[in-house]
Amino acid sequence: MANTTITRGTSQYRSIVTVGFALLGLVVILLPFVLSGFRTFQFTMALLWALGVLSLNMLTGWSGQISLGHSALFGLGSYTTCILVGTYDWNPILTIPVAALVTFIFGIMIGIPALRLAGLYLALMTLAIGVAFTPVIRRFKEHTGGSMGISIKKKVFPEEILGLNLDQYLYFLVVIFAVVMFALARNLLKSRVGRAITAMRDNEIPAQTMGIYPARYKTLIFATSSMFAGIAGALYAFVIRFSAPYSFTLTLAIFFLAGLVVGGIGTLAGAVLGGLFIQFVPYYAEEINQGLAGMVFGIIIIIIMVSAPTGVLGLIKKLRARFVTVTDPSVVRH
Amino acid sequence: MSLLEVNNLVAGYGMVQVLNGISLSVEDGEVAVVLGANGAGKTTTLRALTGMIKTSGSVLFEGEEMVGKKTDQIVRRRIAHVPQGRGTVAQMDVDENLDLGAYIRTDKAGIAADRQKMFELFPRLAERRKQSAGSLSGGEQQMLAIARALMMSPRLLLLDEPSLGLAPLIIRSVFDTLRQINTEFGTTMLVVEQNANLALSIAKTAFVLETGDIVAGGSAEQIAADDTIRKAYLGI
Amino acid sequence: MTKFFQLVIAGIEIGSIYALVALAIVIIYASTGLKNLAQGEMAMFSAFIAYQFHAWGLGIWLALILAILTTFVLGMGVQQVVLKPVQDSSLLTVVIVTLGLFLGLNSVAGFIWGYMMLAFPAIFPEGALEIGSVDISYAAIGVFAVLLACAGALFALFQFTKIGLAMRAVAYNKETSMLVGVQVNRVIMVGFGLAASLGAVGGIFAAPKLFLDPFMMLTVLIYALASAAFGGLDSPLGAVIAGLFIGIIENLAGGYIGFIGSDLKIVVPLVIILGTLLFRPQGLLGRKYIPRV
Repeated sequence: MANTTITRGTSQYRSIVTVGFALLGLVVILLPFVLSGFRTFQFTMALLWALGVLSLNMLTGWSGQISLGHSALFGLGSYTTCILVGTYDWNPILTIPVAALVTFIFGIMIGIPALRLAGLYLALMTLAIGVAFTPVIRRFKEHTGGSMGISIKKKVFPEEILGLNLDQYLYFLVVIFAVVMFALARNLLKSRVGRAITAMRDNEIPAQTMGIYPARYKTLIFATSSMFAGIAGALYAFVIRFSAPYSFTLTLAIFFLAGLVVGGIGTLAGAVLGGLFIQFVPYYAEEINQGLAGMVFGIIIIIIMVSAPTGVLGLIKKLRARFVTVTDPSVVRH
Repeated sequence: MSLLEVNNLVAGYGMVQVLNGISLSVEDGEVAVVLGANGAGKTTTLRALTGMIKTSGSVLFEGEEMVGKKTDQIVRRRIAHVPQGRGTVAQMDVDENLDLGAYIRTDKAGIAADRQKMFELFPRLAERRKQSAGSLSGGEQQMLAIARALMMSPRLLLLDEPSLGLAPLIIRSVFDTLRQINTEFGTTMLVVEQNANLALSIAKTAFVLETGDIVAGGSAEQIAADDTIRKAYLGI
Repeated sequence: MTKFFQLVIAGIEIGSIYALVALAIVIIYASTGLKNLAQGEMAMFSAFIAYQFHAWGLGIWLALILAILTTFVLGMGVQQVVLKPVQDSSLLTVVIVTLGLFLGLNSVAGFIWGYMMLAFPAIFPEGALEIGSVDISYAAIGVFAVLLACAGALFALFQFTKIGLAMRAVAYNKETSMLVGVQVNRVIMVGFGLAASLGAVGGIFAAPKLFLDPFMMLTVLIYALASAAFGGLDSPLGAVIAGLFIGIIENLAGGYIGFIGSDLKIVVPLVIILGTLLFRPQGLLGRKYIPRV
């Protein structure tokens, strides 16, 4: 089949993109009405994982810093919501900004020592944080409920809102947040800050000579990435209404990383693919054997890193490139 | 048949081609030099010969094709390479570096005898046997690097800019030693150098490399005497 | 005073395990620059293999030795199949691959042996040496002795054998190693097998105490990483000293500082990792250049 060329910015391109998004939007909106409550729940969870992957992507894909501690930040957001609602009877929606703030501050706290480390040393530090989360939570059991965890009674959430049942309106809530956060992420990437950060990832010294100060931006990225994870965690608490120390372990951090890799590092759409992967692969694998999920994950991660480091999205792009070439408009006008 | 025959050697790094098909030959027992300015491709030439980078073309050593072989296979044919920046292991002491040099040999007596020869050739190293290579002076490190290479009892010794970073007096001493090694042990050498005068003083054959091409070749006297070559390529 | 000595002895016992796994991590790091986050899981897997051999009727010591040899071979296999293809790739790729290995090993162990804790047979005789009011268990003496034996054997290997010389050369200067004829890829492969075996020793001797399940080595890994970092990532001696030190400190802290108790003991290695990375990244005895921002 011949290779057609489409140029960004032309009306042809715009119409294709618009139609694409419209179709996607339709699918997303109709989903909870077509599928069962449980399936809707699963897709909601997949979106939450996607947000977790997105937060990691900001850190790893854009600024090249490895984190094995994002499960802790996710958990921190979740616990914030559970404690505020479960113990102090807050309105759930109000807990989201609090969770965002708490994780943002944590992100800064981690981001500052992270400035002095690179590569594997950073991974080690974040690993320490990720692993420390569980025992620290257990230790402060008066507040966190210890090993038993802390839960939000279902009554806090109305049975019905605007004719939608619990599964459905929670789904839409998460969708709205997801759309906003993905859009924010995209804008951040395209903004001055975002371009500065990706410039730094590739080569720090020239970036510095252009007046970009790594320290400030790196910490900012850490904090923003943590905040995204925290918000995702808070929403997780809405959906699951339970936080336990063993929900946020190193395994989750690895799953996020796996989702990132499978979807495609550095891509936004890849995060969604990653989220779907994290939700559905273990679900089906566990039906065969409990251990199988991890094995499948592990093998897939290895295979992808060895043969297709750009992830599934990268493969899709390559496939698309066989048929269609997307180019930017040439600078020289005729 | 020459000991080393290079034909149309093409080599580079990634997408950048550095050598555009060079040809040269080195006879058994002689000292040959490749002269050239910075960036001419001298280091690349030696790295290509020892299989450290991708190459195409032909490198015949004692009649056997070396292109396509891995470094350790090439080295086992008794080709010793003293890379730029010495090529000693800084964290190991002088003795261990010499042990390492003899890695592919198994004749204990021969190795011990050669080690003695090295200490006679380089008395400074004998004094510093248990010192770590990293703590030696620049000149001493260069001597250690040469000694390390000689411990292999090589058929061909490749040297990459032995004069680099050394004080003039030391350079003189190093080159005198190289001449001594060639006359006493009969070791064939291929030296790439920027310092043309020094290199020509110990060489029998000389080649001039200019941005990836051999632009001149002949006996050392010829090249040294040829004013156009000197002015155009050697800047002297 | 008794409590103090008792805690120190317990510290030495568990510290020996940390030291063994830390040694494994350091050896791989020194020769390839790879921080093998899957080391703990490999050790766990070896413990299961030993368990299986014993369950099939072999005496415990024979089972141990066979498990260690099997791990040596498997370690070489893992290096060739999983790590060699990515050894020149970016850091991120390598970290992710080791994590994939981590996950895979954990799951395969769960798949084969399930997730219930299994009782690993005692390797050393029950009972203790009594000095005054202090009990020194035979197990503690045994594990410490094993550590010393391994460390000693490793030292001898590196200082007095050709392969040891080659391994050190590859760790220090890969290019020069190639130029003297060392087959670098083979040396790295053997190095990995050796490290895996050391980890196996650690895992096997930890099993009777920690109870065998796929998550057994998870916390040990953290302690071992802390030991490796604290001791100096390219210093085997540092790994041993740091491992013992951390084992002792952990127990003392848990025993004397009420705030920490036994729940928060893991904070000790974490604080040590953070402290080391921030204030003295090369560790006590390490040397290599640390990539800093």
